[in-house]
Amino acid sequence: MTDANGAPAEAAPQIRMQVLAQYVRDMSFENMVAQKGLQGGDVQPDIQVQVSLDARKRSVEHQYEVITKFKVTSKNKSGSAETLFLLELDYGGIFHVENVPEDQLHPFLLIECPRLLFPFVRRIISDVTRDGGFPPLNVDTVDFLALYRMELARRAEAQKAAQPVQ
Amino acid sequence: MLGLGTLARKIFGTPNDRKVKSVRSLVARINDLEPEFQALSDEGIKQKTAEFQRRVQEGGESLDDLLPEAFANCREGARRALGLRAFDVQLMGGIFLHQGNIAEMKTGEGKTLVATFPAYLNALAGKGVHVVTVNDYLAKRDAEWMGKVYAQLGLATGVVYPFQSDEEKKAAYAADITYATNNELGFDYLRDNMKASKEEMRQRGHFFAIVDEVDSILIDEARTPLIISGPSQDRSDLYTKVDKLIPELLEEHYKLDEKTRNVTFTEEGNEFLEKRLLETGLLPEGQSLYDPESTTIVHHVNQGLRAHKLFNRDQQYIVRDDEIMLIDEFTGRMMRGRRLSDGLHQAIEAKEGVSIQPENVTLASVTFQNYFRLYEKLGGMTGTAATEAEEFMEIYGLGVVEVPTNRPVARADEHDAVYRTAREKHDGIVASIKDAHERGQPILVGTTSIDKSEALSDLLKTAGIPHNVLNARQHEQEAQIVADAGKLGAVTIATNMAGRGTDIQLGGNVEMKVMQALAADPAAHPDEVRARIEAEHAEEKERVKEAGGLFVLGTERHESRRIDNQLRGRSGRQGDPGRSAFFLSLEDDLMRIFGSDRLDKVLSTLGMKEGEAIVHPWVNKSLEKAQAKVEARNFDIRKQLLKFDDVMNDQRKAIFSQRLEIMETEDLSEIAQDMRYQVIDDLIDQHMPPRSYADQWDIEGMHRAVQDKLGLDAPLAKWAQEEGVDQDVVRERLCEASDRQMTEKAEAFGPETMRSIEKQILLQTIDAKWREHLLTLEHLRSVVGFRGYAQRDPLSEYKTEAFALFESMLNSLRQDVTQKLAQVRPLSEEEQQAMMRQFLDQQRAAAAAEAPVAPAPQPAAAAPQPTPELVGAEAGEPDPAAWGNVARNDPCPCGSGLKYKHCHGRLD
Repeated sequence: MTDANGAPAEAAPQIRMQVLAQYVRDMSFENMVAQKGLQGGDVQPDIQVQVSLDARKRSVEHQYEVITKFKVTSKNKSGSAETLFLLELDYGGIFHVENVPEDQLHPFLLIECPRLLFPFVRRIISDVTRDGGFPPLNVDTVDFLALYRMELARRAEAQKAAQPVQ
Repeated sequence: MLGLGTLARKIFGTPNDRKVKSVRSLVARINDLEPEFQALSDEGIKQKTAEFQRRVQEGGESLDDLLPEAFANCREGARRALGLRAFDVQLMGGIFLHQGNIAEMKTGEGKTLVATFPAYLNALAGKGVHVVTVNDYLAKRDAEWMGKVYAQLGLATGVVYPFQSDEEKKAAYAADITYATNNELGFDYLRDNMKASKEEMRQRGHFFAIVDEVDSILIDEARTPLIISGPSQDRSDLYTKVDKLIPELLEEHYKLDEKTRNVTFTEEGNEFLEKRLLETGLLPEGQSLYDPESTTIVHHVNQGLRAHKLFNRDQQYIVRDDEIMLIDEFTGRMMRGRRLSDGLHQAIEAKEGVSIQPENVTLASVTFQNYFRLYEKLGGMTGTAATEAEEFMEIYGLGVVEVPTNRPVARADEHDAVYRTAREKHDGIVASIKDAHERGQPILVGTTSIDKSEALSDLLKTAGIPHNVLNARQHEQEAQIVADAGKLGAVTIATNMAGRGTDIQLGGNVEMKVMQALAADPAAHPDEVRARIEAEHAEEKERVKEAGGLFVLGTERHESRRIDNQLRGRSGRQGDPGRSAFFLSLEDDLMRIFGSDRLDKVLSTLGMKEGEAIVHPWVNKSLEKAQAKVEARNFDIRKQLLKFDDVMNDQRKAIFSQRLEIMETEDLSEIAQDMRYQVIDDLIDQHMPPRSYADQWDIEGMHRAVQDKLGLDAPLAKWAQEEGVDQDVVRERLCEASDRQMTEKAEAFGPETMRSIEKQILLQTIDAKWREHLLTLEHLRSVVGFRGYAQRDPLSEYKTEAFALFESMLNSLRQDVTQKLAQVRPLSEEEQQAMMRQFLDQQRAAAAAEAPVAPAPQPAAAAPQPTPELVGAEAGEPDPAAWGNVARNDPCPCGSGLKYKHCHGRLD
């Protein structure tokens, strides 16, 4: 972009971004197969992954905490659809973000940051499911950009729906 | 009026002789006084009462001295208020009651009126008299009825029944004479002893009680402890799960012993269950039923089995409004609020699919035996006490005096008719009912359970005989059914409900008829209607008498002869004609379980034919023997229970009186100080044994203990090094320091607050300790039986251990109180707020626990946040209900304090 533009770097201040910390913030794994003594083995699991995101400003300037929330539900596909396991993971990171224009900060925090965190989440989910005695679950890559757009659309929709009432 | 000569002849030569003789002179004196009191104005009667009260309460006259005058006044009062003039035999009954005896009076002799005499006399002392009835209906009825007499005499009457407010109860107990049921009295006693201050207590001492149907309350009910309990943790899901397994059991899986009402698993049963429990995951893999970890599940399974095999719907309980209501075996009434202990009730709830109420822990308990022994004086009335005279004497110190009837009993008691099978018996019953019904004789059919009463009702329907059914299901219409039961040709099928206190008047109840007629035709003049109905009634009554009076037909013998006699006693009241007979079969429970084999042989040698009944005195004798066997066994059980309960009772009395003292005392600092000194003594004995040198003392341990128990940082090490310091010096210094500390505290709090803190802490600690102690005793009792195997007497073992436990409880009570007082300090603003918050949280949790369905408002964590939240593309089903997304680890929004995943979010 800079090439095409040809403009020198100092025109727009350099965007600085740094991961200061990353961590499991909260985790819950409920292994119903083990708890209820269900027949494991050759069941067909139906896995659903729910993702939600959260970002908040910290008291220190330029610092933000971004949390990705994953909820993985595995159900028995055939028959009674009882839950096989339920995994919830809040994985967060503290980011130092500088010089991102105000209007771009929101998408930056909810697209770029989660993108950085995702590989770790993926590994944890894989490990935990394997440790629970299931085949390791490798979550498909999440397209955070698409996710963001969808959410924007959903909100606009919701706002439109809400308008006439007001 | 009955001549005294007749009376004397009737009772001549009986053991009552001496007692009756002394009473006769009293009765004569009352009779002599009668004209004097008849001459008094209504106001004069009230003034007499006031005069008596003065003479007793101020003049120091004894109640015995006042008896003739008071009885004469009471007789006159009753005559004016109710139009009933008490017979001489009723006065006699009243005198016996006043002397603290049981007056055995036949049905229809007017026991209710008899009670007013001693109640009035003893109420003059101003300490309150309790008249105890068996059910709330009778309590209310009698209070209303006899209240007129007391009002005429210038005394106040109160009645206590369940669900009254505290003020109402207090007012009722404050009345001169209080009518109440035994249950309510016992529970109020227990509740009172859980109260925090004396002002809140409802009862005001136990001076004199007149117990109606005394055998029912003190013998049949004696085995039932009254328990006040609070909920404990909830395991309702386990009950339901276990319940599903029980119906799978086959007959060879368990052994049912009807005699002892017990059911146990056989070896096959255990194996089968273990297999099924493992399959359903109730028993973790690799764990067997015999492992110690399986105790809970074994308990649940056992209770489930008992619920299914020993408890039958409509026999032991009925299902009503999503609740299991137990049926009283003796009275056939519902026992609202009474629950079986040990999870048995829950198991029955699971069986019937109603909501399972949480299991309870005992907070306080007392048996009727012990409650009624609290009274300074006790009197009792019943129609049937003679068979248990020994028991009354042994346990309650009550003599039984038979009061002669006003008119001789004209009822014919027939021998039992015994059939071979239940079917033949039923045919015989129906035929007999039909016969009597056609002749216009009213019939009361006694059955032992609700479903039996209904089965018989079906039989009568088929036979086309119109009839009424009186059982716990119809208890609202009880008064009406009973009023109609004496009408010409009426057939009434009843459970044991129609035993005690049921007054069946031949020809029906006049008052009831008048009320009905007036309700049907409000325009009619009441007096005219009454005159017309009374005339009709007199005619109907004559016709009923001609038909032979009331015919009482028993369909089964009860375990206790008294209950059978009660049923019989419904007939032939006040010299009316009557007839009673019992129809039995060899298939009846009592015959099957307790009957001797000889009876079988006798019957077979006599060669019974189909549909033929055998009526023979031998059979009666054999049956009575069986009943006596059961009665003796029950007496033994009660005696044993009492012996064990005595231990707890003495301790309870000690604790309750201590409690009362604490509530009454304004300034408890002395008690607290005593406790503190005692604790200091104990600590010194423990860490600085007597006759030991300073270098042998456990200074470090002592220092820790003093800090912990007394909240003092005493320089013990320094003291120990000083010259001439021994245990006494240390004791003195510690006492001084702790006194100083408490004085400072009292100043910081202000003396009044300090006093109330002391009181609160003392009461709370006593209650908590006592509750714990009750539980420990319960456990001790359940295991102490095993000591028998070690050739030791379980009772004396129980006594010694219970005493040791009690002592250690008192010890730890002292320590706890001292410790709590030492740690108490004024709160800072912040702390107060924190306390408040915690309190509110607890309240909320408690409220949520009571109504778990209502979702509480969401906590702050779920409030909308300024930062965006995205719901993922791969989002699955939305979370249920209005809570939105609740994280698994978050506290459940219901406010239970549990994680969502362990509460409403639980996966099952």
